[in-house]
Amino acid sequence: MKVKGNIVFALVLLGITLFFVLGSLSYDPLARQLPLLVGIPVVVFLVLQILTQLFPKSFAWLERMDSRQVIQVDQSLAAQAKAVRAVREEKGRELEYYAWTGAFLLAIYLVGFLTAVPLFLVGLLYLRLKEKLWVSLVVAAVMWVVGYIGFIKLMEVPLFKGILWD
Amino acid sequence: MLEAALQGLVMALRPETLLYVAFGVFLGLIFGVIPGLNGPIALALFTPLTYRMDPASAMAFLLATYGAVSYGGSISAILIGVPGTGENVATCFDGYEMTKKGEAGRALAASATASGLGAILGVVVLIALLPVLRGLVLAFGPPEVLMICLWGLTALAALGGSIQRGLISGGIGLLLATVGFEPVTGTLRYALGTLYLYDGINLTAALIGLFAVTESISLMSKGGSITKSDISTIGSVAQGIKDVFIHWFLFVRCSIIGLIVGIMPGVGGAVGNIIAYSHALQTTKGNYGTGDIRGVIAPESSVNSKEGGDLIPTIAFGVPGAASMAILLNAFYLHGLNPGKELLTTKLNYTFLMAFTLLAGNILSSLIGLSFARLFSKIALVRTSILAPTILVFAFLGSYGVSGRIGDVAVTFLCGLLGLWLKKYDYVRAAVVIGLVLGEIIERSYHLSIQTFGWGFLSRPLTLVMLGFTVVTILIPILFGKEKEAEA
Repeated sequence: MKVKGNIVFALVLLGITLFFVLGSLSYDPLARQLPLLVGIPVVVFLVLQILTQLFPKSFAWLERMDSRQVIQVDQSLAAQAKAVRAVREEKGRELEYYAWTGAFLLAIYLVGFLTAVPLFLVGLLYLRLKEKLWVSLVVAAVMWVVGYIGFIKLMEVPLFKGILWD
Repeated sequence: MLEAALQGLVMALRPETLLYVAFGVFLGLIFGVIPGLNGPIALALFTPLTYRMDPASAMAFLLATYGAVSYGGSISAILIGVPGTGENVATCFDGYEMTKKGEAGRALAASATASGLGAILGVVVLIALLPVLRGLVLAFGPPEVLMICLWGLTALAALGGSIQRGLISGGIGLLLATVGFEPVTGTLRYALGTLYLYDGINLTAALIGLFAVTESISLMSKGGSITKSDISTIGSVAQGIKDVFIHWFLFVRCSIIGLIVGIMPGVGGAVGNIIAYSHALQTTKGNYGTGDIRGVIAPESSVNSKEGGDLIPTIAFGVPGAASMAILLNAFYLHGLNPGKELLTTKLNYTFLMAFTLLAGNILSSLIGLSFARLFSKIALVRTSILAPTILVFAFLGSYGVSGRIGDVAVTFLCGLLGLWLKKYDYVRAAVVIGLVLGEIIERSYHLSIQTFGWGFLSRPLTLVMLGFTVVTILIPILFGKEKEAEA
């Protein structure tokens, strides 16, 4: 599964890099130099990455060469360090929470920070993360105060009001 | 030089600077203590807060925060057996065992003393090297600047694990940095027809996304709280302080390891503390892993001396060796402080200010952290379900706060996704960041070099030396490296 994800991500990066490389061809010669000098080797490396993932046996030599390290750490210590760090179990819900973050961004755009912040916090804490309602409300209130006092009053940043209210 | 040092000291001793140092230390300790948060996140989140500060206060605040994070991490490593940051992993091995035996106070004191003294050593070396660095930097022209930037980026990419993925990451950062007006010809590139992209990708917004948003989402995904704290007694601290002086030679050796790790791009504190611990294990006989005080002194000595080392390439050459330094470099630019010649000549007083405030931040964090260790350890138990969304909100507020453009919030959001994938598939986020930060300098230096010297710039002696370093940095892991067997 992870291998597939790796390939998809490498393809996404390849798409981005090709956009920069091909896009640069329409610029004047000086302006296109850096994107080409950087972009072409990146395209080559990304193609190699994709090939290595697609044909692991054929490209095993490349994988071995690529992962060589100069700084070696004692193996038992490395394993111990990994165990200490793995306190929380990864549950693979990143995309779900990223979608929540996207909803927050949309809410900011529509109704502005001061409305979106409490909405997002109460929604996420109470509905998704199953916190108690009063905890969600307190956290939302505190962050609203941080936004209002900290940013609007102290830092004098007029927070975005949203396209619906503005 | 002495005059600049005095000016730096005077700036560092201003009441408002001291207040910002104290505030930075407080926040840094909290970020350090909470597992999952770290220096880069703290710096990315707090950079927008400095936007309206004067440069001296801003640098004092950020460096004090940075200095305090690593000691904060050792508190949770020792008291609850979970490292607050990656830099304190090795401290857990013996520190937590000491807590179990009722010697938490001794371990915390040894950690505080080793951290504080390690920071002093790091800063002393930084100051001692300034005259040498100044001479070197003054001999630099655009070709040398270009080459040292390339070398820094390559080293970070090549030493970070997979060479290919490291170089891809650095390249992606450089490409993203080309969005907007080209610095020499003024050609508009990749603006996609939007006015927002004319100025390029906002660095602060991107850094917040790559670190704060990515880590918040990662924390939410993992969920839960760390553990329960059942520390009944902290115990005496005097013995811990003495221990560092008893094992002074180990302290010096491990501090030097930290310094070297700091100066070298791409190695990073997360590996540095393991190297120091491993060095202690190999050179001394003891009951490591069962609560040996040397198992606390060794990693902690390296962690804070590294910070002085980190600053050396960042201030002198504008080449950050790690993600946190890249974020700090962005803050330099935000406040009109240009590394290299400027920070070593006309604004040398700011360099001294940074050294002094980093030192003050480290010493203060050791004192405060030690005094309120039990209280800080409770912060580590805050549920991530509350913590992570709060950081996320703060990240978006901060991203908007820098320039007041809603587009910056969108950049933060998109960079959050990029960061998540980079992290998941073992690309090097730090290399992306450094590519982004150095992109404009690399492009400007490249064009100036070509215009002034033609391709002959590659035959200048210093340029050749640095080109040699770059090639060797890529070849060394391939020719002499060993295959990776386990993750450190």
